[in-house]
Amino acid sequence: MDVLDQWRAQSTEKFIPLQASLELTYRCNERCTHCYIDNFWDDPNKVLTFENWISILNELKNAGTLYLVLMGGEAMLHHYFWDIAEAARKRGFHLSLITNGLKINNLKTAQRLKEIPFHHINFSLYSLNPEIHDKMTSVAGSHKKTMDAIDLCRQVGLQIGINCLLTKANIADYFALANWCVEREIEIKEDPAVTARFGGDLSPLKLRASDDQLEKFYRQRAKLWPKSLPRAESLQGNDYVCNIAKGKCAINPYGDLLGCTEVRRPLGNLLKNDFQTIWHNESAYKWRNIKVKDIKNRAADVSHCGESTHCEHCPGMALSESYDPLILTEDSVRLARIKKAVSVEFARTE
Amino acid sequence: MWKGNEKISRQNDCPWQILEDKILILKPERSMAHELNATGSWVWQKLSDDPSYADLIADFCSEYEVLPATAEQDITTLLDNLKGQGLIEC
Repeated sequence: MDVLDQWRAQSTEKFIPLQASLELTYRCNERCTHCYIDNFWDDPNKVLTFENWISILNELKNAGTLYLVLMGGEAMLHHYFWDIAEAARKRGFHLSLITNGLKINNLKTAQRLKEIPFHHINFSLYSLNPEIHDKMTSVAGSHKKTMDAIDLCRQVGLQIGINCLLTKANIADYFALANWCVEREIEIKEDPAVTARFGGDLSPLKLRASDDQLEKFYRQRAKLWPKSLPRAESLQGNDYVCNIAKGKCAINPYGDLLGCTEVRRPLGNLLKNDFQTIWHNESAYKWRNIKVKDIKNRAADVSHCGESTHCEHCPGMALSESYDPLILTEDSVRLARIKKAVSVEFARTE
Repeated sequence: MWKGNEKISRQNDCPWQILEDKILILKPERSMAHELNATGSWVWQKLSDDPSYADLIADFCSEYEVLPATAEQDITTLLDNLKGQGLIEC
């Protein structure tokens, strides 16, 4: 275990939020059909001031945060985006940005990101095909702008990555994008987990890839990159289901402290209480202590996966979809079943 | 060789964090991570004020109640290492 792994393990064990995601704003210059944000607008009566964000940066530094992720909405639309980034740099955070790149429309902006410095820029890019990407963002011409921004950031030597949410609209086209990334040594992360909107609107779930599409995807991925073959994980009853409110946290534009970006139920508000008070309150304790044995319908997974499972339970998605963070969603069971089928198929051929 | 009035500062692009008595410093462009022990952590925190080498030695003697010669030996080794890793500049 290298030194970074040791720190990550310690942060989880000691509930130190090594990574914090700052949702600077809900405003966005795209309207992605799958986005979990239900209202691309910040309530002016609740939104944090620049001074509030500085105070939060100080609290996070004292709480043990090293990795800071600026995100939104579109983080670069925040009035104090550059000032907050500069303040974060002065405090010694590792800075990442999740962006659609639409505001990175000239070399000077890319250079400024490099000078802050941002250590990693993650672009949301859904396809190499402009029609598919633009349809998913609902903004004509957004694909060209994102691709141009990627090019500008590469020109100035920024380390970049691609986040690609997989839906039924783009999953068939994924490998063209993945190969494009491989050729350019760009890291790509794909995720088939389309989530419900904050307010409980389940309509984005209709965009999820079908069973057939997912099977083809996992099969093709394993053929191209054998190490990516889904692996079962052996879970014990006392294992935590995830890292929520342990080694990571998130803060929304109103100062609500969240255990992670997926669980939208605040642990508390940083304008009312300090970080440590909230981080050690009853709500934080409850969320961080969700264990495998607490999952109510685990039999639904064990019945086909056995104790070694492909099932990745997300309490946030479960809360949004079934109003209970302790119930495995139909989709997590479905994904596990598909991954297991592909895994078994490849084990036979090996 | 470090000079007495030479100002020493951290490279401003190195993210860092304290955990208990240790400090983790990252050098992202080299994908490297460095962990400093308690003494190294003390020095790293002092470097936020861009002290001179002489001030650093004097403060170290006072903090750890050691002789200047011992302080110079320990601090010089540490600073050489940090400079070699590109974590500080002077």
